[in-house]
Amino acid sequence: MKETGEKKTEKAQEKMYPWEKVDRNLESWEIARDFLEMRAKKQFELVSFKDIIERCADTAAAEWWEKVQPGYGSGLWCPIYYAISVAGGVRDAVVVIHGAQSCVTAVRHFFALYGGGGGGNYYWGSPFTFVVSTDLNERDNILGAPEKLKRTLLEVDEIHKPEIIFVAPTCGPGMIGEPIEEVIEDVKPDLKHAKECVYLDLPGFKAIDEGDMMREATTGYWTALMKEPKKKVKGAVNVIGDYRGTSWEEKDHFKTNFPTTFDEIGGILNALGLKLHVTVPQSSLGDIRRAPEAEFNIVNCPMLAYPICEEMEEKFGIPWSPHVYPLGKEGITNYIMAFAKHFRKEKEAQALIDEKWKEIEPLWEKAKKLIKGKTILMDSAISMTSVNRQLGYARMLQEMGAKDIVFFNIMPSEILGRREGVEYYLTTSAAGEPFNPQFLWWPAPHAIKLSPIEVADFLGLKDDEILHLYGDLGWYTKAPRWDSSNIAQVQSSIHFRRRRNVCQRSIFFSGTRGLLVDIINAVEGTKRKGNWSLYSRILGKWPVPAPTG
Amino acid sequence: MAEKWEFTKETPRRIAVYGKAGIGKSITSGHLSAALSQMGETVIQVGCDPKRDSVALLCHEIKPTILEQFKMVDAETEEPVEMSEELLDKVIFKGFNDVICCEAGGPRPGIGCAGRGVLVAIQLLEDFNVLERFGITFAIYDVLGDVVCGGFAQPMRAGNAREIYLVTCGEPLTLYITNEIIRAVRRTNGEGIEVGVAGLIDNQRLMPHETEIVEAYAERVGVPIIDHVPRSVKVQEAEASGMTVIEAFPDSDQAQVYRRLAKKVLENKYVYLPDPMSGMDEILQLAREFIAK
Repeated sequence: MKETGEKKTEKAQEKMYPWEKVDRNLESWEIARDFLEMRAKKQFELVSFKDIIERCADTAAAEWWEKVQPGYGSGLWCPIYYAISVAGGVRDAVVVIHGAQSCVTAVRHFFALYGGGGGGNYYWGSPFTFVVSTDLNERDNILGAPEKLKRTLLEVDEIHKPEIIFVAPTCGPGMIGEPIEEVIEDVKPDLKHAKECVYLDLPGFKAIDEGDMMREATTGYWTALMKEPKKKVKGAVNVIGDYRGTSWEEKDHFKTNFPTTFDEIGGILNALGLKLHVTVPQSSLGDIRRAPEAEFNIVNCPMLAYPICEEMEEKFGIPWSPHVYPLGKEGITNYIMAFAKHFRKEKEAQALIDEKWKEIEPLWEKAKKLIKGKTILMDSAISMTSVNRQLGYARMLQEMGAKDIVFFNIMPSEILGRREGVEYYLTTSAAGEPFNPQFLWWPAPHAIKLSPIEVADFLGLKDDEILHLYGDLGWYTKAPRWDSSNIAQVQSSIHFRRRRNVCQRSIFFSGTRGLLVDIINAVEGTKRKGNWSLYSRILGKWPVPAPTG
Repeated sequence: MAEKWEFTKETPRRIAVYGKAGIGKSITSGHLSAALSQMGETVIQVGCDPKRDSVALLCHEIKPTILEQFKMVDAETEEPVEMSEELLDKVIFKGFNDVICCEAGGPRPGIGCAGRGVLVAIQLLEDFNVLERFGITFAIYDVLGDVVCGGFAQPMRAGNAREIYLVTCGEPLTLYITNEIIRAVRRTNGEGIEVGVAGLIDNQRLMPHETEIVEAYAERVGVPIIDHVPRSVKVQEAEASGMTVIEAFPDSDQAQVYRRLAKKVLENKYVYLPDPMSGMDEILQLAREFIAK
């Protein structure tokens, strides 16, 4: 049967993203007034975690925000950022951006802020990444500039002596069909130092969502560098999907009281008679090449690791475990048992977990008592703070007996962009129960951050019934009574909440211990019932603004 | 009824010729230039097509282009040579009857952005005051086939030409492209740029009912037909000699047709904002109304 025009239109409508359906007739101030009115009326809703992905795809939030700032609600990214963020962290690598110098500037600013693994950020203590540009201008974008690219590649090889060069095109060369692969093939025989030159075909104009961007930046490129193993290394395990792998430590002599995740996982593997083989993708070219010698892959960042693990399984037959963020006894046990089972080391693994847990147990029990009856407010997750990490914290808190966990100020684009990680959490459990926190939902999380006070008021919570975990960009400082001397607060970012002798991702045994100590300190600190914070004293009361006009 | 208004005749007067690829825009533009020059106008013809064949009949050969100068690099430093009046003038030629001729050109086939190249070439003509320096009174922009991207729409977008002539014929596919260009004109006009369609030039293909089909189309969309240009072997014969009919066979009937066309263009005072047909189905329906007869 032929479709009628009307039906076709309906189908097209269904395919549209919410932000594409937006009526842009209203003025921005009218939208803002609508937001404020909804906020004043507390038009919030509690949504179950299992419904969250569907709700995000269907939410009106993007529509609303789209009216104020078109494009923002889509959550679409320039994929070059993430491609470089990953590739730039490979040891002895140089990334050549085939584009304007300003694109390098933008990428470097992004590194400094975002903290991605490019190495160019303060968090990693090494605010530098080798990113150069071919310095394109209008003329080059009209005529093409393969000669410039060739010259740059030869210069980079001569000056930086890299082991590997990545070439990432910006919008202009991507759109005009610049023959980048041909240039790379042409220049390869003349490279004296670089053993590999890789074309990252992710020009900015593709503009895809964060999840797709991560998948595209990892699919194909890394397994293409790997070699078919001549032999398997017995008991060897790769850690896939983390930044700054083992070979960086070796290079930078980076050993402090802030141990890396690899120190901890390496120790666990050794205790079981296994060994940490290599980390992928951010290690040396040699390490990447020999990654297929391992017998098993485990995961750090799910978004970065899953595509690589899937490919390594398909190409080299290496099994892998999808577990992430091992926090709490259940999380750690699931994580470790996945590879212990593969190597038939379950007994040894259980003994190790039990032994290590003995050290943690007193803290666990103490924290458990302190949070009893409290509602966990999990505040803000943006691309920098990662909802996946906060879900890991929430899962541990559920295991500790927290009954009510409420996420708020979470943007739909954050959930959708990290959906593979979110989908993993949906399959997990805590204390034997399905992991199922709640999300406070309203149409404008993109536009207006709710204060924890109004969320607490909405939920009818008293100060001592709250444990507030705030993200990197928590808004607590502006909330008058929201002071750590009155309300238990824990920083949920790994960037700001670093502890001596807690591993970098704040996971495993040391991460659990660190988080428990923070929770205990936070709750005990509220006994002070002290003055308002400096900000609070300056700002005074912070009522929810009512709409005017 | 399509909106119609009288445009202000400025000096130089600037027109753009659009139409489907292969419909005869360059032939029409070349003959218009030749005829207008004989009527006392100082004409410039700007070829806005990477194929660079717009002024070939006026100059008797394919000429180097503006973008060829733009892409020049210094032999020693390998750095681009900065564009100058002297460099630009090297690709501005005098053709038949002193018609000023130039071609925008384009990048190497297969890479680069021809649309943006056309835009830059036109801007260079403005930057170096070419029209003023050569005392141009009538400028013709001969633009690549369909309005495929913003670059090729530049002559109308940037106000280089507010008077658009659409070369067309009775073939449905050609009318479809004509219709699409009308949409582009409307869109540009809607952005506040005072541009309109002056009319259709029916460059006939000797197909049955061609005149009726084009007339019916013109009536539907609300735009006049400037002239019907009958197909003539004289055009082919002149082209084989690398010339326009006006130069090769100045006394022929076809030369007279082009002179008549040029006179009508010169005397035209109005542009229109036609209402395009809904799409290919409606155009086919229109053609069938005549072909079925």
